[in-house]
Amino acid sequence: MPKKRAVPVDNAAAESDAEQPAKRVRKTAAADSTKPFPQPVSHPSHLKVPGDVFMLGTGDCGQFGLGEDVTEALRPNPSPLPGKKAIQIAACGMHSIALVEDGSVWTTGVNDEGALGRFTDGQAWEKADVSKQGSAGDQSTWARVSFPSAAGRIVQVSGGDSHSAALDEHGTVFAWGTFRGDSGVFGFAPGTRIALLPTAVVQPTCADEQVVRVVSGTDHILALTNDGSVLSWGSGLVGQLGRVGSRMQHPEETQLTPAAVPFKRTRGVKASSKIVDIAAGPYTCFVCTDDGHVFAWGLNNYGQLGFASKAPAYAPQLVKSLEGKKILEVGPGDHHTLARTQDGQLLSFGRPTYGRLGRKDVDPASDDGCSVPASVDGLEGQHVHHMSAGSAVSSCIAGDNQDAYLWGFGDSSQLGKGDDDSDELVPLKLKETKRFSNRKVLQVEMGGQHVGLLAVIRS
Amino acid sequence: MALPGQSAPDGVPSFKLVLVGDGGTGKTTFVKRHLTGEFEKKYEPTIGVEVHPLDFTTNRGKLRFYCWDTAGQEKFGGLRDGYYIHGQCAIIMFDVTSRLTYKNVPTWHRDLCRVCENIPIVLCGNKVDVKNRQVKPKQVTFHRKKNLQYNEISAKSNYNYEKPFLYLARRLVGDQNLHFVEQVALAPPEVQIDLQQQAAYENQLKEAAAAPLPDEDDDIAE
Repeated sequence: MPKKRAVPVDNAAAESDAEQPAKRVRKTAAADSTKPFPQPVSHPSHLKVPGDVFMLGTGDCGQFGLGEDVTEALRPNPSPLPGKKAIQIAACGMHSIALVEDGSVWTTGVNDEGALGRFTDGQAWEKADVSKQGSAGDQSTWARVSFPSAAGRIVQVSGGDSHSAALDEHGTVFAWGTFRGDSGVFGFAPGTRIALLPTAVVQPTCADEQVVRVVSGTDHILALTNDGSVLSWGSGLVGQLGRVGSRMQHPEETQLTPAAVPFKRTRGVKASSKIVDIAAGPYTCFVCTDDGHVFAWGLNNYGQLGFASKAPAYAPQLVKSLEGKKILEVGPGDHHTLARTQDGQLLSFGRPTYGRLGRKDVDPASDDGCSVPASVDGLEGQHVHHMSAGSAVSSCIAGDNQDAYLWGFGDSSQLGKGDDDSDELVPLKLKETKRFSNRKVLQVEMGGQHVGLLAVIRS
Repeated sequence: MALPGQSAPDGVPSFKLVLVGDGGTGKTTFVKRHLTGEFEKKYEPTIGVEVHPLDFTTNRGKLRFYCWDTAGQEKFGGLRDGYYIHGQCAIIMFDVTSRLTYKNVPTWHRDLCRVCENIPIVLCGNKVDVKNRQVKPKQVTFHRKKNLQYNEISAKSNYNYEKPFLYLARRLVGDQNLHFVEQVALAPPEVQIDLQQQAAYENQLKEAAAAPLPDEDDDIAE
């Protein structure tokens, strides 16, 4: 049994040096993995309300699911799934994933390194596999992903640049694609360069080990278990794994095998504190505890972890600049971070360039990071329900009407302003259009060059 | 801009060329093909950059690009302004076999334009030697929106090696008829490119360039 790893674990300090090889998650006996758990996993982050998918921004690589000729959406463009409503949309690096109300998973976009989890036309490297599996599908239209028969109903999906992940009701994590490193493909799992189809990568053997939430960075994955442990795997070049140090002799196996992130005992944090939420930025990680603390690790070159040092953090550290702010959820981007408080306030910090922070107190022409969190302007009095940050853009859902707001880098037309691709320095409410009218937004997700929206007709 | 200890021969015009793009797109392979540049490169540890002097002989005389290649700190985006500053021309590189490297092209472009206003820029799709590449010519639209030159290259086979430099030289000198009159000494090709297949792609590129960019109806509610 792996030790229970709530934060902080008593006597964890002795064994939690991030330079030490991380403990491997125990290999699961095959017999156990088929045993269903009585309780389906649950977490407040599992979305359940069905809505319609809309796409926005640049989609010249099929990210919209609207075929290869629809390369941009200057206003929200409906992207229907055949006869179905979605409950979650993930706008990833250059692909999209939709979780549909019947539990099926659909993908579209770039499949160069297997991120779609299904065979598509034109892939050079798996011709042999395609012939085994029958016909290959199109990359630029939605198509369904098949899971191994042991998989339960899928309750959450996530995706990065070249990988995707799905969590089933038993708390098993399936993943596919690959993780990229500093010179191209790094690998999917020890001995596996690319996984073209969903593969079980975390299989719990008891209720404590069940994964309740999965999130993706650009090239890493985090999973939160029932007992409050955080597993990480993927590429750990800049500390994203929280358990792989700065010296780069860590073998592929250490990085690509899911393992628990060790947490040191931290002054000011109770031993009984439990991790209740996790977030992965492209190269960063954040966890929130039930008593309002935030820990972070990974890339910090613009202060996007909230640490003034600008040095990467290779192990979890308490984010002192967020202490006392009652953070409910964190939404990290490439070089900046958004954070939402219990009372619905939105904070931002990190790189200000192109207006991504939405803060008037920071010069958007400057390229100096601002590691001190402060309120995003232009949302005064509006309760923020949800947020998502992209590479140099930000978004949130705010107010009683649940409108979408977007701001930051305009060049990829992700701000929904039609022909105007200028930057927005403070949140701009997404305009209604004929195709996107009277809509309550359930989800807005920033991808590499596109935006995925889930919305319902206002009643 | 040269580094200390590097200087162009008297009377030879020289230009700072900034090379950007995601890790693994082949930037260093590309710049190393030029043999005299590789021989005379200088490393500047404080900025983490290697500067290769790349000489070309044109019908109007010699010219030199000081090509700035990062030592890998571009991996997570956000090269600091010291790298871009005084840049006179640029190449943005992505890998046609992995469109994930195309994702950041718009931000690379903006970061360049923020520091170096109005400089000539070439977008290079590298690794066209790899069979069954995934990028269809009509899918690469970014350069058309931003009026950049787009060249497909294969650093490993030397295919189109001179093309981006010729475009930049013409723009910098202000002579559209400028041409190179001597072959540059390049490292021998490591792979062969299927020229027939590539010619077909180049034709598709031309057709795509002639077709108007899709113009979406602006369906803003009245």
